[in-house]
Amino acid sequence: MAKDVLSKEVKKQIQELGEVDVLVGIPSYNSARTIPHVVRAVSAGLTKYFPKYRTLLVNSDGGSSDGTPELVKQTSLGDLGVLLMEHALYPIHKIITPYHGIPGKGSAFRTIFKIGSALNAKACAVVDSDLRSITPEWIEALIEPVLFHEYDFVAPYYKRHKYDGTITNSIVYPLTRALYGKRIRQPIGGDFGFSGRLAQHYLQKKVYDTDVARFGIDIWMSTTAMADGFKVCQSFLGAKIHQAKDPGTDLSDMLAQVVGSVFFLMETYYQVWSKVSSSEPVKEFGFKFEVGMEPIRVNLERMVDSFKHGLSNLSPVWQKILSPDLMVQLEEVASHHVVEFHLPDATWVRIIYDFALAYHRKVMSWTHILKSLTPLYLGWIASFVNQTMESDAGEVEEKLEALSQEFEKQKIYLLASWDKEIKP
Amino acid sequence: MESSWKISIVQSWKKIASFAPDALQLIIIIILGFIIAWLLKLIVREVLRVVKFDVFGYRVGMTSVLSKASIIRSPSEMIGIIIYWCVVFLFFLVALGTLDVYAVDTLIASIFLYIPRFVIAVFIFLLGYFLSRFLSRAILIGLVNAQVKSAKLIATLFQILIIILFSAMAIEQLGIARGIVVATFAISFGGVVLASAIAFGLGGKDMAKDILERRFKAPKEEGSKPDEFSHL
Repeated sequence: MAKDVLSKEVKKQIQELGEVDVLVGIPSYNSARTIPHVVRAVSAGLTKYFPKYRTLLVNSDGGSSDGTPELVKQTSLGDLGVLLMEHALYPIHKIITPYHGIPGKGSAFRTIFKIGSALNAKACAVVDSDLRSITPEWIEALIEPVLFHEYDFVAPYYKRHKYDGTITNSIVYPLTRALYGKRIRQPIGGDFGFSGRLAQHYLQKKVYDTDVARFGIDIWMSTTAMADGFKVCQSFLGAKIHQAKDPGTDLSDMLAQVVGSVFFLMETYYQVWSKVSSSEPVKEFGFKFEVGMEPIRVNLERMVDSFKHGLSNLSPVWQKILSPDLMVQLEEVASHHVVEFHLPDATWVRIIYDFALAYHRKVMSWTHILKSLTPLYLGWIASFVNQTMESDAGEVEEKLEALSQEFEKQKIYLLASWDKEIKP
Repeated sequence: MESSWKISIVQSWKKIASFAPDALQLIIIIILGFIIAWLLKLIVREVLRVVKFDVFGYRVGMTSVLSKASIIRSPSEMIGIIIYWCVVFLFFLVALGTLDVYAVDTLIASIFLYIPRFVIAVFIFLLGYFLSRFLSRAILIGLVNAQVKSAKLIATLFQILIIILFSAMAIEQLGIARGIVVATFAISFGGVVLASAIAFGLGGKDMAKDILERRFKAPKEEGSKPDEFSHL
């Protein structure tokens, strides 16, 4: 099947190019509004920071109907005379191709990995096509650790509003940190750097016909790099602002997809994470700076209502997932009003571990398990907002550090329960 | 007088004597049936235990169905018992067949012909039951996540409707009062749908208006606006 990933035309372009040093991939689908900016930033980054290297920009498109590939083709760098320290030795090549396979970012990435592997690229990066805040420095931050410091995987480190990325903050970061022992702050960031060696490793995995190809590619890339022993680091990229998502995107679908991917990978890498007992920081690149923290609108009452509504209606479902003492704790949590609403970290960690165990033991359909997490997740956000309303970014980060440590502390419970049979 | 008495005793004895082998055969087959049923029960239970059928039963909700019916046995034990009595029943029918009585033979033949339909009906009913549980749970979770207040009621009603639908199909398969079953089902199903439509039209008028306004109009109140942070 792998031979069909690339079209004849792309193979011909690869043959003409022979080899490249640096490759940047942009997966896209109907991104006409934002992709010209992304292409300009990538081109400027490649020209400015890697003028002596053979560079390639790959656009892997999912069949856009708004002219996205044409825009990538037409977008030129413009005059960067002021920006550049030295002139580029090579022009930036472009390969613009539709991807084949299941529609989704994972299939787009497979095409990028394949091209990178065929061209023997030394360092690769992928960036989202809907980014509004990308700058040429992002390319330097994602490529440099691979090209000059022998790292295999570079995760992004964004500066975000204290309430942004709540799924990452409350579940994905602390859970992957506790599981795999690496403190990668944004494991599902979406913009990554990686070595040609790792691209080849990714290509060997048989996941491109699964849900990973549709929506789980980000966490899969991070987890595979960590679990398979590649050298990982993270680079500070500044603020991440991207085109607003469709407001109709359902939270429970999004949560189920992300958490489901983490749980799915827990099955694959049990032999790895079961041997990890603590975490360590990873090398950080880039110059950190603070970004604006304007107050944003959060409807606490609606979140607490959702939690209480879930408790009163989903108890029969949760009783199959959560341990009885946890159900008692949830009743106690629900007895408080919005202003006093508090879901302790220890309870939240147990909830996540019990959901992971329920997924592992297949106590019911996995979609039911994952989607029934939504009210509990909203309860956790409400509690978190309540506790951090007056906190600055540093204090919020301290709070998240405490949560992460709780995940690590309770991992022993997860391990002890993992092989236990269901007791009907 | 004495001789006629003797004759009738002899005749009766002859009848009993001629029936005895059949009766013995009948008793032996029934006893054999009990033994084979017992052995089969043991084998099935052991196989189900090895393949962790009780865990499967727990996952698909069999255990909770049994406990709701105050049955304290596990699903594998229940299947063992059902198989036991089915085998005993079949051997009983075979045993009756040895008597070579026309009426009994006809009855046995019709029972054997009915067995496949009965099995299909049971299968349809079980399929409906598990499907109703799965779908009603999916609906319940979806409605709770959408913060619909009567989520539990709607999910339960849906489950009942699915069970009614599959029960009607099972009864239809059994061939019991076909016309009445179909008519009753059509009337009750149509009635429920109509009643729901009227109830939603009258009772849910404001809710429907609210949903449409939220979908197509700009939010009026501060509280109805979406949160401004990103989950991912």
